[in-house]
Amino acid sequence: MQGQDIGENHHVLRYCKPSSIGEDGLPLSTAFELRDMEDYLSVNWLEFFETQYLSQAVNSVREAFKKKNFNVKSKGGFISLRVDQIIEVIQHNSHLPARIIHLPSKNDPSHSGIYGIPPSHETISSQIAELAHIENMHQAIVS
Amino acid sequence: MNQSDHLDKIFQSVDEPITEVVANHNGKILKEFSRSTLDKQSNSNSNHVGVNGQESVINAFKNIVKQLIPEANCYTYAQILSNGYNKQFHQTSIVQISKLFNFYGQSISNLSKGESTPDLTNTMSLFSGKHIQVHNDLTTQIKVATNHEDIFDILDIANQEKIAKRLRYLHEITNDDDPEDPPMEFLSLMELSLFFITNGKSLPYPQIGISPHGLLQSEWRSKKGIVVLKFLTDGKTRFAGSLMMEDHRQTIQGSGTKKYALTSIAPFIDQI
Repeated sequence: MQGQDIGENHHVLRYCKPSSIGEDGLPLSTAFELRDMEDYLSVNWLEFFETQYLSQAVNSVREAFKKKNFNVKSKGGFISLRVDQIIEVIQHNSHLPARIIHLPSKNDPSHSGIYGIPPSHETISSQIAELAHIENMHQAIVS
Repeated sequence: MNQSDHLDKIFQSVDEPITEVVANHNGKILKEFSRSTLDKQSNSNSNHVGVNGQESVINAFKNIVKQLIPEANCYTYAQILSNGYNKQFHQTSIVQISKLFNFYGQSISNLSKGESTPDLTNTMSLFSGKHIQVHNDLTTQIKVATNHEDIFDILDIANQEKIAKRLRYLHEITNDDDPEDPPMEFLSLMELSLFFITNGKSLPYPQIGISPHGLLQSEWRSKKGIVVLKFLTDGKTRFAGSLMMEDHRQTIQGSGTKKYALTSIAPFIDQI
């Protein structure tokens, strides 16, 4: 584990593939489940971009996904979530320490990880999904 | 009595003399009537087969079907095609033949597309039960289904078209979403489908997603809360729920049978 903890009043962006978006346009709980061998949930730290415009920060994340050749789908989406709310959900339901840590890489400087989610933990994934609101959903690809 | 014994008993009980049983096919246990085998038998030993090998096969199949599904009618594949039966009839037929072929331990994925397998060339028959019998026995049909499409079709017949449509979508896009993702777990699909045509039939239409492990999960949510129900491959479930009350948040989580899960989550879903 490396990098700094992200401030609790900050926001992170999570890419949701089409199959993890419900017919109501919101991310399903499955969007917040870890895969095997993953020990954190990948997100992007929005305040990293030091812009007051959310759309600019989201665009920067889209650019980063392009640079790292991530296969973003047009029917996918990005959901922005508050760090303090995610931390609270994990702290209430997990025996693991809840942290969101900046994990930058060359092509994805805002990349971060949510730690503390045990594998296949439906309570945590569903309660994080519950934090998502449609106004915080952003298109994965802007034409 | 295992499946093999059961089949042997059926073979012995039919009136028509039966040909040999082929015991192995690509490592799977397989017992079938082979046209080529029949022809050989017909030429070499007239005591085992009638004059017309194909007719004998069809009659033998008819007799097997009568044993398995007393109400069933038997048609050749050619008869069904030439008579232009509707889609539902075909689905019915395919389901019934899948039931029959489960006794052979053989996949019929190709047959569901209207094709015959090389092993069954010229001997393929399709069977149709009476429609009323089919509708009353959808759970059995799901349990004996051998591929995803069969189950989607059965959900359509069970008036769960919206769920079938969503599942077809998920099945199609999962691999396209991310090639590293596993495909939709067939047994999870089976369990979800059984749930929504039986105990969970009266629940509101759910959101359905697929986990990074290929497991299907239904969700009900509103501004008040969320309930999720994951269908595991062993027939069990895991569930979790969270509901905002006036002065506190009520939560639930657990695992167990589908019936237990329903009892646990239904009060939550009612309030969402």
